[in-house]
Amino acid sequence: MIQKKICMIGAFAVGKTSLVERFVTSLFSEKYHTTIGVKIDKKLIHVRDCDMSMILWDLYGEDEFQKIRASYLRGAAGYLLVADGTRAETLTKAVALQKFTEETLGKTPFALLINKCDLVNEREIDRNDLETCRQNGWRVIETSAKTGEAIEDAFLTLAADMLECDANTQ
Amino acid sequence: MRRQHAIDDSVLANLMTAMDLVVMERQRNAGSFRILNETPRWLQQLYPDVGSRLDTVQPGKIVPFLENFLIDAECFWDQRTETRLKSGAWSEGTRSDAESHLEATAMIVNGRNLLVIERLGAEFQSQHTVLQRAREHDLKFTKTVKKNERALANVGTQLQKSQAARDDLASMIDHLGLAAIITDMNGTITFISEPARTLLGLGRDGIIGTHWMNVSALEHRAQEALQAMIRQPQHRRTSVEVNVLTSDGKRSWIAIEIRDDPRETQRRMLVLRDVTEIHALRQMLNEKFTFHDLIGKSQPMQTVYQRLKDLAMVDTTVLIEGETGTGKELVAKAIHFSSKRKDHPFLAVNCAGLTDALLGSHLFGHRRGAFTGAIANHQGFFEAASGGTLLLDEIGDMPMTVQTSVLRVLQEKEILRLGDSKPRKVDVRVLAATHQNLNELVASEKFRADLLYRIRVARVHVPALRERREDIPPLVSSFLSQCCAATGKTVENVDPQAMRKLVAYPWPGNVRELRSAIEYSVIHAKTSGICDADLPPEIIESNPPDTTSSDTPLDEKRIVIAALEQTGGNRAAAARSLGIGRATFYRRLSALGIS
Ligand SMILES: Nc1nc2c(ncn2[C@@H]2O[C@H](COP(=O)(O)OP(=O)(O)OP(=O)(O)O)[C@@H](O)[C@H]2O)c(=O)[nH]1
Ligand SMILES: [Mg+2]
Repeated sequence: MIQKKICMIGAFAVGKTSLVERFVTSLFSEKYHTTIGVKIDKKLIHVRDCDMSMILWDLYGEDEFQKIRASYLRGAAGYLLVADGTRAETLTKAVALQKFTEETLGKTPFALLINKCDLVNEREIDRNDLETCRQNGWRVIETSAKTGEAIEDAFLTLAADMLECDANTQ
Repeated sequence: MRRQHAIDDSVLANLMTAMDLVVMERQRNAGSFRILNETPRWLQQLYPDVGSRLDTVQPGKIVPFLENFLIDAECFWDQRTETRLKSGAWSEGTRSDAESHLEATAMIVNGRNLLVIERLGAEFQSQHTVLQRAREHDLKFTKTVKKNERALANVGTQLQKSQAARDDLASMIDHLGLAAIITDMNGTITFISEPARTLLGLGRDGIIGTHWMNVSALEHRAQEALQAMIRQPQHRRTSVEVNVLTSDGKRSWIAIEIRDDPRETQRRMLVLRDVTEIHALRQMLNEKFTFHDLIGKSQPMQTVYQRLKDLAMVDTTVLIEGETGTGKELVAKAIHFSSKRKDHPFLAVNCAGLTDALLGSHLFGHRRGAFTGAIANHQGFFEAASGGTLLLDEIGDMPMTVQTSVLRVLQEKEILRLGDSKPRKVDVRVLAATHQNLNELVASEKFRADLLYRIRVARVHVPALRERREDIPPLVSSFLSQCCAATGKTVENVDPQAMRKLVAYPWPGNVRELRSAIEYSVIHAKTSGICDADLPPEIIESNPPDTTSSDTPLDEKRIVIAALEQTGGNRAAAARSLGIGRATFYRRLSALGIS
């Protein structure tokens, strides 16, 4: 069985931990419990006739208190870049982190998740900005850890992209 | 030294275990470690693959986080530049309160490469708490800032919108000629419409920001009235009419209506109306069309009002003459209440149908035992009306003996109670009323001539209702409302057909008869209006308006004469010019008395 390391990257409180928890246990909690350091989780999936053990690295959100260590990214086969749809500044942060990650890892499959899409009324991230990202070849998926919307889709799409990436490099 | 080292080894090992530490020493073959102290239970629970074997473990194979860290650690051990390398905290599994947070440290002690795994405790928790708080605070803060920014932006656009709406509204108000002022909670003007400026004689600028009471020279009384009205709850407020000296020196009457702004009860909207003209008209009306309880705008009544005003100025005896039911008592009251005696009693006594003894006793009072049944001393009307006015109604029916006594009172200004010998001074103005011709009564020796001359110092003739038919509609409406108030019915009007009958009826009983006719009709009315059929039978059966009567409008006569003059007296041509048949024209001519 192939094993893949996937990093959750994004500003603090965008829902990285919630996304993983939703994906792994199907649970969701409204309570914010910030992550310090790294939280490791595993999930077995079946994608493209292939069993995959996903090692999910839920990295702490970056802010002035904690900076992401480049060493944590090492060996990642893919990453999910997470932004909070109700906080426009988290998209800016995601863009910066994407740049940092790519510098560290080289070209690696990833997807941009615009999380908390259930909070329609508080929406702050402009659809036009997302369009720009898509035009740059990014995969953009609007998710909600709260409702579960597009969670499976996000992880499985990334897994598929990683497999494709493997196939291309071989 | 050796012994001590051995002791140290075991003591330290126990200590490390107690401190939730696992110490491993790197082995020669890559990736293998030897656990130096006891494998703690929490590590076994977390990583069952570790087992309890103390010899070699390959943590990089078991713990993905360590797999990653060991790459850095190998470099560290190789390079030996620093004393230790920390991995940073990590945790396993999904979120839970019993979560274990671990941290690995690579170090070199006495030349041995060590890997220490530490379970983070209280210190980590407090660090977490601080970070958690900082982030929550950050989130809340940015949320508030954003909310404020959004609100500000909202207010901005709303302000723009409402500014535009306000401008529209203002021009609409101006176009409608609405004089309006809006004040804030302190009474400071925040808006004034053009018509309001004009009404108050204000210039174009400089009014916004002043207190509305200071805008025009309001009399102190008017200010008080307005203040009192503001204190009333909105539903009790009526408009206040104030006399304003505008800044351009004009005096006008302005009705001010004070309303609360429905959205902001402290804010007031003042609606101003120019009632100067209405005021003048009303004053005229008050002066001319009614006089105390008398109603009527007809010429005969105007004459009466004028006469009453004159008589109110003096203190003479007055003879009020008029048919029965014309309202002679009201005339007497009007004199009394517009005279200087108005704060003293007004009494009326009907002289008809009483024996001389009884009437005498009524008028002058009696002493106890003066006659059978006179069980106590009794004050008469003359004394009771002291300082005021006494109306002797139906004076023509007064017995001769009483006439003599009254004459004495009028001459001496004193009375004698029946059975008393001591005269008492009285100050009473005497008014007399009669429907009879006193001259005739004097001629037939039923009335004392000297009394007649004495009371006829001044005379008022109250016209019969048929002599002032134009007063019938206002009288009807006044009686209607009085009658409705009394009966609780709501009858608001009289239909035109019925009104025509009322106006045409000869009213032998005058206003009194009209009043009871209306009462009768209200009782019989089936709807909110009185119709023909509701009227008393004698009125229903009365003849329709007789055009040959003297009441025929003068206008018709004038029109006919004008037509004849234009045609040089040619009757046929005049009839043609008026669009009526010759026969009809001839009939009109004779009816109008034109030869
Ligand atoms: N409404 C809504 N709330 C969400 C969603 N995802 C996460 N949250 C909430 O957002 C807050 C932050 O979620 P986390 O999953 O702890 O965020 P994180 O990115 O792991 O945060 P750090 O670990 O501090 O970097 C929590 O209160 C979650 O309940 C979502 O899709 N919808
Ligand atoms: Mg987290």
